[in-house]
Amino acid sequence: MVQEQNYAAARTIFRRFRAGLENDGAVLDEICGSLALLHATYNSSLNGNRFPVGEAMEYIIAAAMRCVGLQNVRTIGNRRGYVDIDVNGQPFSLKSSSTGNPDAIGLINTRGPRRTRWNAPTIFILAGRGIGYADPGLLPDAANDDVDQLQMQRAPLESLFQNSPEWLLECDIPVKRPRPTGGERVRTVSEEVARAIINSSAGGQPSFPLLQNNFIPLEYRPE
Amino acid sequence: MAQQNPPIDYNPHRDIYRLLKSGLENAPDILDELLRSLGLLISEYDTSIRENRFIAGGATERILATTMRCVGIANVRARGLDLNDEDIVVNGHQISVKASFTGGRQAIRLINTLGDSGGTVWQTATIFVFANRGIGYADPDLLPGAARSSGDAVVLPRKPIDDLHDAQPEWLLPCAVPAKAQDASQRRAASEAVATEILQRTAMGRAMFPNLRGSL
Repeated sequence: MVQEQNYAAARTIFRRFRAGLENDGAVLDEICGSLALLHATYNSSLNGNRFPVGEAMEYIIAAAMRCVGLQNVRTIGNRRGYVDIDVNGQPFSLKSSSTGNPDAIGLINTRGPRRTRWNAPTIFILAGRGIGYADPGLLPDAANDDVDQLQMQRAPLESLFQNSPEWLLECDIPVKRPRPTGGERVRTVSEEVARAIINSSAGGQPSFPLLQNNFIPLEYRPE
Repeated sequence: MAQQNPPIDYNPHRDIYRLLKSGLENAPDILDELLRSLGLLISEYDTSIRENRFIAGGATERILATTMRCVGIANVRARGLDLNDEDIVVNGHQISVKASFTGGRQAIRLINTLGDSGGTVWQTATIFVFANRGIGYADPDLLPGAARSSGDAVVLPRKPIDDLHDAQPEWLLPCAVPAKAQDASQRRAASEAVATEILQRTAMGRAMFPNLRGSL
């Protein structure tokens, strides 16, 4: 049984974040604008971009939290565990849905049928909807096991937001771009990383002159 | 029940690997650049950070594809937008790349199945980039029955791969592929670089996100 009072600190932080964004429309505009640029630059319909785009959102939301005056905000999604942002010792998970459809949201990848519990206060970044909050005290039993992940259906989340609008800041979170089919500039994070490595230099000289002249950018070329 | 797939002729893939191996043996300066660039990659993007595993893997594919072109293999391209693309495509022949930078002998995850892997089989010619070992090749005809299901993936244990490479050295180019450091000092997540790039963008000489960039 989840103890509701465990989430009081997390809820207070979300309320402050929400109030800060309502009071400073410029910061909220920058969140929505930077997420749109993120999707436009690194199309997350491509598998290789999905994880870094999702995790880049954590850096953007953490920056926005600092912007509105929250103290001691750190991104910690790269450590073991299921939390992404730490605010003054209070951990949060951050989950995004960028399709604009009310799909179920993956909470924890379990890599197979394992019994895992959702217990992290969670900030939801929902395309076409806004920035929301929920925790297991607000939504007991809403998380359920799928084949390889613990997930949450959108219906209970939407019911929470409708019944308790304090947990959703409606705003224009952008929808991700459709999968490219060719003819448009496409960037993948791994390609940019490989390009940066191969183009690196030391002492004013290219470190990898032979590779540099043969770098292969991503291109769409149907067989 | 396993999927029934038409037989694949792996001879073209084996010829491509032979060209890569002999090309690197004949051009140690290119091999040196390959190994140093992989070393720089895993020192900057530590694969102990989960999200970096995908990025380092993808970047390794691009660096290896570039190396193939460097040694004179024609019509090489790295994975494109086609959903059916493997990691490297040479003259229409699909090749998977699997890298392990731990320096250990962990089983290689060939295919993530996201759930029951019982019906998925390994059928792709594969180039292996193994830290402290070298750059090797195998395909399902060289290692029949070696791949097995493991819950949510099809995996290939290291022993049969290493046994193949010991028994038939033509399928391994021994070289000093770097292992990741146990205690990486320059831990950097690819997403941090992505977020920084986005938030530092300018338009018409002005910061696009002046509030957020100041709070990164």
